Amino acid sequence: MEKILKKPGEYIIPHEAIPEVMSRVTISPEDKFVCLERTEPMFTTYWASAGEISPFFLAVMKEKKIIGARCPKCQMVICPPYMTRCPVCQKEDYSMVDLEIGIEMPQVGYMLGTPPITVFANARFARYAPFGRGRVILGESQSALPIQVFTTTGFLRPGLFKAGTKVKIIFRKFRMGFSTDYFAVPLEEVPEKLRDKKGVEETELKWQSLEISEPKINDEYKKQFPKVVQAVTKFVGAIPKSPRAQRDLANWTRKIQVKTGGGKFGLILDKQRIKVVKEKFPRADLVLVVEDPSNLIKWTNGDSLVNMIRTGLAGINNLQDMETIFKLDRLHRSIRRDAEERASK
Amino acid sequence: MRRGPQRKVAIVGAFTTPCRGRWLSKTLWELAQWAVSGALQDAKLSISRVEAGVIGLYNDIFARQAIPESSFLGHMGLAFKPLVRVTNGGATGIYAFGTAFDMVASGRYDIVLCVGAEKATDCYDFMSETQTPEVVQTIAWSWDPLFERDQGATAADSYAEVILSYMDKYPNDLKMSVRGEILRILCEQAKNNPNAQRRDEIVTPERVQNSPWIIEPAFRKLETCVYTEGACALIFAAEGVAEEICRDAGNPPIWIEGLGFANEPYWWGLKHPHKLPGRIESDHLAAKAAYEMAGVGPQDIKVVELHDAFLPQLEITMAEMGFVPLGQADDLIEKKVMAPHGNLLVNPSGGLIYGGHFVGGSNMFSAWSARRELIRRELDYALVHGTGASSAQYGGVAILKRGVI
Repeated sequence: MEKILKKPGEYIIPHEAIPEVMSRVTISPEDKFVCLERTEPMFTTYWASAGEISPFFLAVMKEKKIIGARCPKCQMVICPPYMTRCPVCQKEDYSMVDLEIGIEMPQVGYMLGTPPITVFANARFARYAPFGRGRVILGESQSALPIQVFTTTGFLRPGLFKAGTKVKIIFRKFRMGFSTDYFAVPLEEVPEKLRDKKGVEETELKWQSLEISEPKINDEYKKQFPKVVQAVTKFVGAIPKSPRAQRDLANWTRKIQVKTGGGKFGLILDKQRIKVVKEKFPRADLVLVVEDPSNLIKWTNGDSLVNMIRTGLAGINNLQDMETIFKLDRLHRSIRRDAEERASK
Repeated sequence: MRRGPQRKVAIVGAFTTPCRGRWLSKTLWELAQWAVSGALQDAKLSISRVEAGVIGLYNDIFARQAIPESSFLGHMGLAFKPLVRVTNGGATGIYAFGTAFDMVASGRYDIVLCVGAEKATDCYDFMSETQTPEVVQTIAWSWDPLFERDQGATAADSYAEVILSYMDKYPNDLKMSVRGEILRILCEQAKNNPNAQRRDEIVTPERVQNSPWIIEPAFRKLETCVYTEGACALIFAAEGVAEEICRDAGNPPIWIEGLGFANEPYWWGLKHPHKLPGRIESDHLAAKAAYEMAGVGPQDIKVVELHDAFLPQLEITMAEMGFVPLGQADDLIEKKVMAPHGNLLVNPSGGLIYGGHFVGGSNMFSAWSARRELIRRELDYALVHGTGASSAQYGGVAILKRGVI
């Protein structure tokens, strides 16, 4: 057995998804019936084998290859190789014909259909929204490979991927044998010198930062600015009293430069706290631009920075660091929940 | 080779609970028992005459119990009698319906109870502190664990890809103005259904247009089905027995004249044996089989109760079932096919979008409504449709005919 690959600190069930053992008395709003509600689990964990499909994931993981399978009788090619026998062809002994597994597929293909862009996702994926996933046809394959789709140009938006759009398969730098180890980007976004290359890793592409312009300074914004800094300071000052908010920030450090039309300030995320500073970071990890500073007060009241970025009210210089924004968005709810619990005690 | 039934089968009793977003005051057992009790009352039938049962339960996670059907037998009054559980994705209801039909049509039992029940919104996401992300997460577990699930495939993706690939093929169909008008009609019709979940809403085409995207550009929030808690029970009886029950109850028998099912493969591709983009072939094949068995066609149908998971899918399914041509599904409104502009009554219950969608029994709820409309309006034929599973793989269609007492 080879060594176990891990993503330290990442759990298959996120800690914030696991409630404590609780019960409560609730009055049914329609018939006023007095009910008892309890938190309950129903879960199973696995060391699950990919079985006969393991060669596909091993080829992705170790060789940055996509493999398929071919029926020697009818020549049907499938990618991924999701079965080992042809469901149509039979041998003389009436058993199904064995597929030839391990055919290397080209890494440029086309979308079978327009991929959906998910805005409201499942609980497990809510933090990645908006995201896209679709199906790509590689080479002679008659089946489509399910695949996540990304653009190097910022947020995924309708029109970038359509039925027939040519795409390039890109591999994650760190691969663990999941179907997220590879994804598709539009071929036209891939530099020409990389288009024919196999096994292109994500780091070989230039992921365009959102081109954020400097915020326009005006007197009204300047007037609002001190109150905004005060509100943000008060908001992040509640984190030490909130175990949930501290968990949101666990194992995360960032220096964030916040630029508004009224002025600039910095946020230092470290040791499960956030500190507001007036200094300018010479090398910030992330730049957040919110031209109208009142939007930051809205954030402290529960509005979503993700939505502000999506709708153009805010911008960041590194879209690959949306996870930091998701963490900032989670804080309000965590602080509120802990405050409510404290009040009820 | 497909064979016809050994004998005719009729629906002789039906009852559905009110549809609610959450039945805090009732367990799944209670909802099912309530529906059974109501259906027996409707048929004026003693439970002792029921010989067997079928129960549609969509999944164990919603039920919070593995093998949940084991708890229902006694509640339903069927202790020491056979009970079959059916689970077939979103099409669980129509497949349970088919199973109950087969049990009677085969000659094995004279009277069979068919129940569908669901409680979905006990699921709760403690990260967002709401139910919906956990409900849709539960449905998303139905995607395969090796490929689709890890990539974030959602419950809505099941239909989004079908709709988007249909729009790839027919870019001028499924216009938002038509979708808005259909939704307005469905919302209006739900007001005539005493058990509908969204009876108090007012939906206009403008509101539809302005509602947020769920999956862009496939459908918006006002175009999606609801999550419902509720139950429905139908009583099936064989020819000879059905007439006697119906005479006593004062209701005409509703004969099940046609029944068809088809499931598409899980994997998408360019040609068979893969699922093809832009089509819901399961609906087409199921409807074709049901029409053939009943000896009727779309022109004979006066009421359609269709499993409208998402509004654009309603239009595609209507085309697949032959009411309008593929690529011209907007004819439903533009060519005045659908009532009140035309004569065909589509989802008088409000459908799954406005009436309610308790997955294990939604299609039975549709059958309950179709029966109600056939009797109330003295119409001859109704069609009941169910769909479900990842990529709308499963399809089922039943053709109902109003009989005489």
